[in-house]
Amino acid sequence: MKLLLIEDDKILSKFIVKGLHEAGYIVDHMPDGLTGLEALLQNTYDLAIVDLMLPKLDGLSVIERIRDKKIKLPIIILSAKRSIDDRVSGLQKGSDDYLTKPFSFSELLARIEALLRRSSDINDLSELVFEDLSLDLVSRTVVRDNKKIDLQPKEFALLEYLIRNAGRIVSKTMIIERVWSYDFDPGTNVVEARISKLREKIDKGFKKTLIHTIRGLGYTIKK
Amino acid sequence: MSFKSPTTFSTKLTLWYALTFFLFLLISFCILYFSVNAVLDSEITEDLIEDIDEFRTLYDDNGLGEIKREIRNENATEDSNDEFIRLLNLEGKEIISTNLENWKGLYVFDTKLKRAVETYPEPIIETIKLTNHEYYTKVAYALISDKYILQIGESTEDKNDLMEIIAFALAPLFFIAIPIASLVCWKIAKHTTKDIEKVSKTATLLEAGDFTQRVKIGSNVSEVISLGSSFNSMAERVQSLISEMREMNDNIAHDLRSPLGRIRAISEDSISNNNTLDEYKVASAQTLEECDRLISMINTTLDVAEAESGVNSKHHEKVDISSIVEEVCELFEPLAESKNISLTSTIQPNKIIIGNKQNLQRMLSNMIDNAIKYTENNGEINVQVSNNEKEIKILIKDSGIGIPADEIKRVFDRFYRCDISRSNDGCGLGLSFARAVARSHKGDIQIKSEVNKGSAFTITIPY
Repeated sequence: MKLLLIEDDKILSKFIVKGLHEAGYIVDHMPDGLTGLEALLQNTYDLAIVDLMLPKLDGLSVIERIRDKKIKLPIIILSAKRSIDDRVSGLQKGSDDYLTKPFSFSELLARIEALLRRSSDINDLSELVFEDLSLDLVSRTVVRDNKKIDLQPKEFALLEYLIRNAGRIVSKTMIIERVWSYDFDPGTNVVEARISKLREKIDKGFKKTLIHTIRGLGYTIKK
Repeated sequence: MSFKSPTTFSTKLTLWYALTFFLFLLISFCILYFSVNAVLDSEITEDLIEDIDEFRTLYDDNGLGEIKREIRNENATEDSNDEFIRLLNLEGKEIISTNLENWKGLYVFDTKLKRAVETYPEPIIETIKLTNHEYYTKVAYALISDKYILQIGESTEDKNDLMEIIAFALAPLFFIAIPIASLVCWKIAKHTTKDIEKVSKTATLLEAGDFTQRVKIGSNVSEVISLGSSFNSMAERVQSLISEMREMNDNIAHDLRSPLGRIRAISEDSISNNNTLDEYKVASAQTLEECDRLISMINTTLDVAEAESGVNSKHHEKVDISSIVEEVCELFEPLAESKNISLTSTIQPNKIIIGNKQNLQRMLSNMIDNAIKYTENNGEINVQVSNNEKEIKILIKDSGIGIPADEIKRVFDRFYRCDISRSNDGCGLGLSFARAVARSHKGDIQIKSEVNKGSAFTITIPY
């Protein structure tokens, strides 16, 4: 997978490029709107990450010109502007997602992956299995080590989200956004309370702990 | 004078007043003068006509002899300087007259005689100036029977004397009334503008930074009183806003400094000490947590401002407030459970309002989060959604620590935290945001609270 990053902040770019490399992506980086636009017109990328406030040509214009040429790659906007109007106009100009700065890298990664697999068939699975834990997505039942576990609908959705992102860290904001579709962080302890409730049902009484807290970043499900 | 250069209001007002008053007096005077003049003038004419009628009757009753006798009588009694009577035949030859010594230059014109005959019984009346008379004389020619013409005249001297007396009586008014009126006007204007000057001086002091200044209005002019009171309430508002802002700045500085201080300490430790890898990871995690706290504080500050400005109302749509409340309660249920708080709800279903879903969710999250935060373990929280014909009512009642009466008003202030809650987690923006959202939906939030018994927050939103 080949990605293009158009971002003028050198330090931020360095970390994004490094992180994406480590996640297994090939990344080109352009420091301004004009070179970014040229790169997009000359090469084929699977996804572009575009900052809005760019030297020479702003991000929205880059997106507009790309869409005018009927180039359909997914685009994520990175911006320090976070008002509703900015977000709406960003999406109207043809971007697929909008991430406000500062952001957590794991969130950027999750959004990239969500956009890249949009067309793939991972969403059509009827069962998710992780280690000795299995989720039946049709009957909404959970079994661990052959024991049936009763989960509330939201707990099921939370576990499903964790397993779909197995091995990756998901932040509290991501959880609240994807599982409850709230666009904000409603208090620090809410997710924590949810996770510990889920842990009680999933991990308590089993040898191996599956749900882990990564301090400062969020949660992950791993071996 | 030129009105382009700045003139005091009093001067301007007085000048205009004096000018208006002068014009008014002048016009009144003229009207009076000319109407008295006209009345007196017509009286002289009437006198002449009366005399003519008298002589006609005399002639009709007693013939020429009686007229001659009457003219001789007039000669003896009347002041010959004031009036004259002369009887002429149709050729203009004098038959008899009163003493005409004082009426030199009194001619008889054939045309007048002819016209007097033509216009009979109307007399011909003319005003002439005689060389030895200071004033005009009114002269009438009238046909008496068909043989004689009576020429009769009266001086306008009496009338002019009277007009002069009137003029002399009125003239001093200009010299007395105008200065007095101007002075009175000047005093009133000064009195009124004194208060306006006070307002302006106070404004200057306010501008210089003394926000305790207020205006005391001495005038009883209602506009000036209302100017003073609105100025004072403005000053009051400015003072309270400034003190609020100062406090807010202090609070922001405190709230920014604390996490920054921690980040600084963590980073310094990471650089200067030989830590283990795990210790470095913990340090980074702590830094991340502090950064997130700062980011969320800054974002929420901006969100409060955005909600207050009402920009969001563009993005309003139909939302089911009942299900929003239900979802938020469901979301917070485990958190309440972790403190063994019973979170119960009585929600009337399917209440629809026009609003911003995200903001309403966040408003309710803030309120319920607060309720859980400020309720001790084993407490109770009850959430109710009800409605009347005008508005939706959302009640969030807790058995928590409550809010002291003198702090209730201030809990909505940005960055304000009650003394008891200062040590608590949070940035003091939750309620500011909640109220901004309620107000952007044309609603509001009311609080009833008792220390150590609990608080009840009522959100009302019209629909």
